[in-house]
Amino acid sequence: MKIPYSIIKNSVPQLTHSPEELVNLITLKSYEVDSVYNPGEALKNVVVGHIQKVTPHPNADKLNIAEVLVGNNEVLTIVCGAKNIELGQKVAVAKVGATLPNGLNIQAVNLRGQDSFGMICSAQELGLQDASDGILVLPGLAEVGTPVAEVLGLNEVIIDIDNKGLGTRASDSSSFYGVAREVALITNNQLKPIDFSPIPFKQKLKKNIKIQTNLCKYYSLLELSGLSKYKFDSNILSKGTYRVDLYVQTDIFKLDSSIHKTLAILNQKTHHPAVDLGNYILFETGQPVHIFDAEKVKGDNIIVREAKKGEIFNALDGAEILLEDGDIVICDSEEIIALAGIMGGLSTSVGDGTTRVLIESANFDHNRIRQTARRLKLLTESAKRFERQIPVELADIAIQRLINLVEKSGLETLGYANHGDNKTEHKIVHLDYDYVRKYIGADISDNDINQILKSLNIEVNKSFGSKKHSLISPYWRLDLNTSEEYIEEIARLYGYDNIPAKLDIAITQTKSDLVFNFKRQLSEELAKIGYTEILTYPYSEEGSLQLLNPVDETKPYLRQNLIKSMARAIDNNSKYIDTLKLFEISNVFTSEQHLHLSLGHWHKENDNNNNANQTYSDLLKVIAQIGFDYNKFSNKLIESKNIIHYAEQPVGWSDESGVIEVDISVLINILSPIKERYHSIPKYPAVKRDITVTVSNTSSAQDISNTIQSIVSPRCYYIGFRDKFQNGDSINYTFHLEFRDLERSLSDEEVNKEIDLIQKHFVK
Amino acid sequence: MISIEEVIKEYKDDKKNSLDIDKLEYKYLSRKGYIAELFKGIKDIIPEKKSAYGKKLNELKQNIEEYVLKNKTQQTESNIEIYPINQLDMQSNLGGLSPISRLIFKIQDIFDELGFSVAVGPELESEKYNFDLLNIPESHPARDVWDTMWVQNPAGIKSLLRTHTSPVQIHYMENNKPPIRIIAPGKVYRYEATDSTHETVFHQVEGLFLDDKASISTFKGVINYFFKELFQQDVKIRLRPSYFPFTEPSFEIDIWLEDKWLEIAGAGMVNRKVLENGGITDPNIQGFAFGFGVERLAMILYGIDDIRLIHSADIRFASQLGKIQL
Repeated sequence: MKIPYSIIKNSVPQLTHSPEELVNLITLKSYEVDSVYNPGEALKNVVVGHIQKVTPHPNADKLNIAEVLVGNNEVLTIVCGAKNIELGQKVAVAKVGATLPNGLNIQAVNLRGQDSFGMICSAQELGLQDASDGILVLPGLAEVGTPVAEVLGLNEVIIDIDNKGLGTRASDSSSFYGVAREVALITNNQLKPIDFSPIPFKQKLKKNIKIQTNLCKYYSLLELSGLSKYKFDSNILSKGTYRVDLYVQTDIFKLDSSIHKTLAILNQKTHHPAVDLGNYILFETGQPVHIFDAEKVKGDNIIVREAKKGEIFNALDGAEILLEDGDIVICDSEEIIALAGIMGGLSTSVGDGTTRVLIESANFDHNRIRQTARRLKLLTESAKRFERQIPVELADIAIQRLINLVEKSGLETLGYANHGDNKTEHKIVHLDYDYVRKYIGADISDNDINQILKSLNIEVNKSFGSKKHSLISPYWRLDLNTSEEYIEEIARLYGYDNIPAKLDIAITQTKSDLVFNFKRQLSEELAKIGYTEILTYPYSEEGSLQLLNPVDETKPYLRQNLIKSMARAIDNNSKYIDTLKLFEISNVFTSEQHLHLSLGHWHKENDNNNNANQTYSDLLKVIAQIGFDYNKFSNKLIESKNIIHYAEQPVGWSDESGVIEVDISVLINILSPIKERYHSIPKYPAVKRDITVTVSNTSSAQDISNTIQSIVSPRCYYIGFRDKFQNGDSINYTFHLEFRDLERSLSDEEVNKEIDLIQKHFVK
Repeated sequence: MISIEEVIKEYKDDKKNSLDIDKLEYKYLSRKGYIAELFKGIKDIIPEKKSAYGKKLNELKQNIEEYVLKNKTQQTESNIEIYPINQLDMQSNLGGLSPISRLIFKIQDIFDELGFSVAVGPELESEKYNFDLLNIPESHPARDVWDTMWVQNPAGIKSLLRTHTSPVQIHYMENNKPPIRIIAPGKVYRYEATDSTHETVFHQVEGLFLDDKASISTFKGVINYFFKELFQQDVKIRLRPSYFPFTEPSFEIDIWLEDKWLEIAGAGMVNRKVLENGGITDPNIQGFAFGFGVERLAMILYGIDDIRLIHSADIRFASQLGKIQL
């Protein structure tokens, strides 16, 4: 909701806060402010110019050369291509150095041999309208040299309040008057009432209102006549003119010029003045009104009913709308003339030649309006307000205000009719002030609470002997229905800054989620041994769970594993670096959610089996480090495309590139802790040997390791993989062996014998 | 201040004139050298040009470093082998957590001191837990705020990827009795267009504190403590009114950093309807909940200028930030 500061100031005359101070206060006490801006700032260096001479460009048919007075004796020569340029016009001149709202930088240029110092602008170029034909012609009274923003009334501070997140408070903050009331409240000032005129109940409208659905609580119509006095030419809107002409140069509809200016500031498109008036009422009061051309509405009855599936409505904008059961519609004797609360119909729209209008002010069910508007994607200003629920009382207020505004223009009220219930039933809430203090955690006195509630126009009663106060909210606060909702009002107006920050909480033992803790330990241990954590996107080309609205059309599934992302990450990063150690821990989605770990230890010179083995040994190290029994991993070594087992159960696998993936959700349930036991420190030294064996291409390191194990005596307590080297059709494996006898020192000869046995085995 | 272009020009000249390598190194790479000076100047560059400028500057730095290294190696006698130490190699050998994990663990440690345990919940959620039980019925306009990613299984059953970590509140209340003190870190998903500050998948930390006296005042105490510990300094914090269907009242939490207020978290006193939906009907039980975006916090803390880097799996990003100490 955008609201000009001057409008707030009008309703709160004693306001002394500057716009900045006010925005700060609104932010702290009331609503979120999206932005504060001055629409006039976009038109810096654009001034009123007076065309003193127009001559055709000697080298171009379509161009003219204009001499434009833009200040004291300052005459600019400007080349202009607009057809509607005429001697004596007042125009908007963008001087050299100006930047227009469309980003155009004005510089001195030479156009076909003629120097040009500035630009005469169209309404479109000034960002005032979506399209325009020719330059904008300003009123003759506009003073030469004045900033155009000033002439157009655009030099204003606009405060844009975020209503999206406000919930049921949104309707209260979606009008000038609602915001002004809030400002008066938080600045402790008086709110000046709007000028109203009484509803002419005695003038009976010659139409009957029939409400046939409980989705419409209240419906009223006011007929106005006298528009025929004014000729309205809708073509005027498209001829490169701007709203400013409508009220200064022509005499079609004497609305207060401030209404037009306000709509211009809010960037509202120019319509028929009656429609503009309706829009203004909506912004000012928060009540949407719809304007029908009274002569086009047929028959004696106006019927509010629910549509039937398949009915068609011809909307104002020319669209044919297919209706569903339950959409609320307004009908005359022949057809649907409005989609209630959302959009009017084409057949009864106002335009040239409209002499009488019917003004609808009503209240419709917010849920239904929301449903219909969202389905049809018609989030009009009207629908946006209705869907957030509007107090029914506003319907009459809008009419009273509208009558007041048109009285001065000489329009006459012809008739009025209303039907339905125009009072909101507010629930009485019984509030315990001790609960207020306990909930907020501040010692706010009964008196202070009463003061705050009173300032909100809340009716407070306390019956004798009762601990609680009974509260009734004013009609415009539909959101106050529970104790906690009242507490919010008390807390924010007392001031969140005034509530003390207390950390008087009992110390308790924490007990965090096991899987989360395991994930943390795993991550930290992996980082310690040189792994870098990565995160990758969960979207995949294949999977079991399909995204109904995928963010990437080529990846409409949720991934079932991490291994592909890891392989891709290694591939992408391998161009920067020779060694990579990466891991990711993320959920994957088969039919259900599983937490997986992917690991990649890649080195440029290694083949995939080596990469797999390195990675696998890192995994075992980390599992051991966390305190689990890594010996239960059934595989001693792995290669690419192996399944990994723990306690005989499959828990992971390696892919062809040597990346490893482990299902943590499975593993964590079968991991067993290391049984730690002291072994006395060996008294005798170990003898260490490296041995290289040459084997055929088909043998794996695991096979060799197993073979060695079967050959050597139990004194060999460690066999470790060291290296692998491809040599034509055969492979050289290097292993590291350690031997020890617990009773005595081993001699070299004894160990050499064992090594010989191994070598003999592989030589044959 | 000297510009990067001027430095590049001078460097070229110095190379051409074969300036003594030690002098060159001092002139450009020392603590008071040109490169250091240019890095200091980054803060004055307009935000849109920062990353391009930084990139250019890093390239220049690397260029000079390589040149210096190469020439120094040549100077040294050939019987001593000198391996150029690639900076990236060094960093990757150190290993590290993603900035997200690091931050989440740090947050866990701070809240652990206050007696908060970590709870987790599923990323694959039902509409009931993600919306309905949090007092966001189908008809509620507030549903628009959460752009949902919908999921269908092979049997045609529809579910969704949680749009926030708040459903964990309900799961936890269903299985635990007050007093409750938890944080729930985890991934959340949104269907939206990405840009430098928006992602379709990111992380939140939810908090829930319920007992027989937890008030707005307690909340202020907890959140003040948290930010003080996180930033290791007194941080000015303010609450301002906001609206969330699952809290009443609701607030936004702003922190004062670099001369402006930054919106950092949403919070509020847990709505009675939500307590009831979680099975807590005792009127004496009350408390607060809060939630914040981990990426946003990480971006503020580490000066990351593009949220999309988090999921880029680019070692040039990942290896830098995992090791930043808070």
